[in-house]
Amino acid sequence: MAYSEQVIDHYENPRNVGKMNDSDDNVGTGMVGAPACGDVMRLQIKVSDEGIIEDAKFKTYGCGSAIASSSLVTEWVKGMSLDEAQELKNTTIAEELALPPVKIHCSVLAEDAIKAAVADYKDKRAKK
Amino acid sequence: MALLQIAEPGQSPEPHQRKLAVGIDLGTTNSLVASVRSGEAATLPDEGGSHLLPSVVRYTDQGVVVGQAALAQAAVDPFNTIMSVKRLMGRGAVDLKGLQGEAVYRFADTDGGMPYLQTVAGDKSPVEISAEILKTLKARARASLEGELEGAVITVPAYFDDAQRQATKDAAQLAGIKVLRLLNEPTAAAVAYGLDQGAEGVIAVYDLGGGTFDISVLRLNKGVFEVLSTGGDSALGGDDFDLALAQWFLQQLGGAEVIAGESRYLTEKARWTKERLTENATVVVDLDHAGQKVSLEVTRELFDGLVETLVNKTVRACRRALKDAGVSTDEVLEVVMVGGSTRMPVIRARVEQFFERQPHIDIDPDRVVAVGAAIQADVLAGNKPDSEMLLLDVLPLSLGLETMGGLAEKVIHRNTSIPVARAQEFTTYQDGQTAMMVHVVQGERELVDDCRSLAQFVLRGIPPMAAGAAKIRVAFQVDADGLLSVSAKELSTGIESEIQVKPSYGLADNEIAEMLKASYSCAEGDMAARNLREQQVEADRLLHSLEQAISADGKQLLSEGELIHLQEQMVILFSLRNGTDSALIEQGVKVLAQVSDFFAARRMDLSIKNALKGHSIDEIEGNS
Amino acid sequence: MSADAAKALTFEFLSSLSAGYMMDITQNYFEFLALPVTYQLDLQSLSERNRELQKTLHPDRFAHLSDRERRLSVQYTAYLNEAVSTLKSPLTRAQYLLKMEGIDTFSETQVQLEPMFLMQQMELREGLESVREASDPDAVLLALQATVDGEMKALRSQFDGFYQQSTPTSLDAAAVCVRKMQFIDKLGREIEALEDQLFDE
Repeated sequence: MAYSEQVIDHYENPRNVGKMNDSDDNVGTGMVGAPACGDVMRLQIKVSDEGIIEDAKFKTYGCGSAIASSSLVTEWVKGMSLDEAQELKNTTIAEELALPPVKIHCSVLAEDAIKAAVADYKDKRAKK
Repeated sequence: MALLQIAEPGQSPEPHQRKLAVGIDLGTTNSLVASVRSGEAATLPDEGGSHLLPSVVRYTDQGVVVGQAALAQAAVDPFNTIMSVKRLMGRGAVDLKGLQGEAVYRFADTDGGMPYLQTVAGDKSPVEISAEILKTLKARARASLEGELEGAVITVPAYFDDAQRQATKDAAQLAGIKVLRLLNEPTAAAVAYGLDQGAEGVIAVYDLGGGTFDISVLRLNKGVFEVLSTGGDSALGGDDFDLALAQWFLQQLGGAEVIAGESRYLTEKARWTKERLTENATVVVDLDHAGQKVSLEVTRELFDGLVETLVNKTVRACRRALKDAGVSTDEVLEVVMVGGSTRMPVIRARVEQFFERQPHIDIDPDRVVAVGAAIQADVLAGNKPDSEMLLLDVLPLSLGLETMGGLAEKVIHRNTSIPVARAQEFTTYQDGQTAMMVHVVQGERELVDDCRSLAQFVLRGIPPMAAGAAKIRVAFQVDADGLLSVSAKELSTGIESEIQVKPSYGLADNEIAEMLKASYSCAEGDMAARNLREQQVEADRLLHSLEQAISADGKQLLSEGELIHLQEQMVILFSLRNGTDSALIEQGVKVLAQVSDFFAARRMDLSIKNALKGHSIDEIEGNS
Repeated sequence: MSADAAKALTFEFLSSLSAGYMMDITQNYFEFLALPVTYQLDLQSLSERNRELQKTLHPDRFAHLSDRERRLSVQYTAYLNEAVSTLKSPLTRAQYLLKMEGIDTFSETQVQLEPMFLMQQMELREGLESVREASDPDAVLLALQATVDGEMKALRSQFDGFYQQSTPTSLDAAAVCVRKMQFIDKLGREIEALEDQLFDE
């Protein structure tokens, strides 16, 4: 699928929308916001005993690109280890050379949310 | 030291000489031209005494026919007779599929972009067709005013997007008309009423024309007309009411297949019926169909029912415009009706019901826009230096660009006062991305596909960086006519890319130049003469305004050295101006403009100081 | 404020103009409009000054003059319009005042926000999302609108208090208020949008 179709598809049919039980030991929750747009995002991960992200869910109230990018991110992180997820970078190969721009906050919001979710999970574990 | 005498007697316009300027209402169904003569603004009739020029252009092997004569042949020669061309302005070939009624034309195959209509005189763009209407009005104005036009104010629906405005301006250029301003139709109507009645307060203008619907909310205060909000539908008008009735006719006739000529015939009959229903509760219409005569009775109730959804659409737009303006219905002082379609009783009743007051219909709704435009043109031409009148417009539809891929991000929101300049920073999506596609769109929706595509360009040479590290500033600038230019800049390297937004569905500048050339048929010389004249006028304008500026503020704002330098440069341009090389004059104008920039800026600052004289710095300091 | 600081404030506007701009303004929005630098701005004076300056600067005043003068006037008027719209809204006015103090909340991307505040914002938005399923959507919308209005009012007065203290700590606290206002403001706009939709259906 061409890149732009993929983005629109994630915007119109976001994947992994929902909520996990925050009190579960193997769930980490990241909550972030971008004041410039007034966007709020909650991103949760479910981690296996081996430290692999089994599932991810999100809920984003915000502009189209925030919704699309959080949906994309939840797809990417599934199957990653916690360390990989924290290093998350968008290195997929560009199909077209001249891509449209991205709002600066949207480019960091989803990454921040993943990092916050991982930190929350590790925090929970450490407390046990 | 005596000031340099620039103007030779009889060459430069005398300060007290009136400049001829007109207002043009370039309508979907009819067009008009008006001007201010001995203090009165009035529409100008043709030699036969009619004021309305049907916006119909017919191409024949012998030439172009515009107006009533063209309209008379519409049913007989449908492919060469172009009606409602305003609906095609600034549209792409793809958009036309959605436009009913226009389907009768034959569109030439083009590589996307602008649609061309096939006629016996060759393929014609909507811009060229509109230019024919403008040329006719220009000729009418020249004949009745007996002189050359300084320029014109041309009205457009407030809801016109950038592409439609640009197309209108291009048509004027093709017709050889200098556009003093593209004025929104509702604002023009408010001007016509406001000055007549000396109103102060909030005014709502409900404008239902042949092909467009506009609602504007304005605040009038000491001669300043400030548009608070505007809304509407650039594809909803009286034509749609005709179509609704024509479709009912067709149902009654058994839904037989229609051919191009008959569709237009039924629409004409529907319009005839609609117009009669304004005065009569019941109208009987005779239709020729498949060799038979059929009589149908149409009551006002039936008609009102057929058009109810259309009327509701306009009322919803009114509600929204009031909300955007932040005023309630009871704050609205006056409601003004514009456009021939507001003669329909059902419209008047619903508007009265919504605003809870009787709308104004005193000025002929067909003429009110042209009259308002003429008043504005008179002021803009400089004929009324003491006039307090000023019209402040807003952007009708949000401007933005495509982000991520397919998503629209607004940079300037609708109902922002214009002119406006605004910038926003963006970044790259992928590591090592060295180019960025800037796709400019207009509209309110979240997806690019649901907005109007205005232009695309690519910013290249971004240094390879990690995704999200580059900072690209995209700047939008909209002038007082609502026309946009866009630039993009990578901030760490300063690499820049700028375009004057030429809509994807518009004409390129060289195309316009080609058409202009062609319109002067064999006469290359005419073209050159016209070019020279234009450059001379621009040179005169600059020299004249500098001369006035020096005599007004030169002593206060210029050192002796600066003054001498300026005057030397003025003498140079003046001698160039009297030559015959238009390129040299153009260059000279540029140079003089540059060397006098600082003076213009100083004068601007001085006028700001003067404007705020009553509110001195003491007052500010006293408060802080 | 130093002339350099003022220049820096207007620079961003200038760079939004097309290349080769000629305008040279070193005044901030308040000075430009001859208004006192305060959060409690008199909106009546603001719109009067706007009218007075529009009469001097608007491109229509230069329609019969040369190209150069018209372009210059477009730039000045754009600056005026930007000044007026920034100072008119209580949110952007607060942001502009902070920017004059060197705190840029217009384009910041990474800031720490209180988890409790984010949680509350999430809940309010979830509430808005479920309006359509409510038995009385209008009542729910009204209640949400009242919350937004109340929060906004409280934040404005907090901001003003912190801003007037004018110490580095209080200005940081003022910036926190501004960030919260941005979320509340967005929620307010979404309530309006939903109201429009419900009415149109």
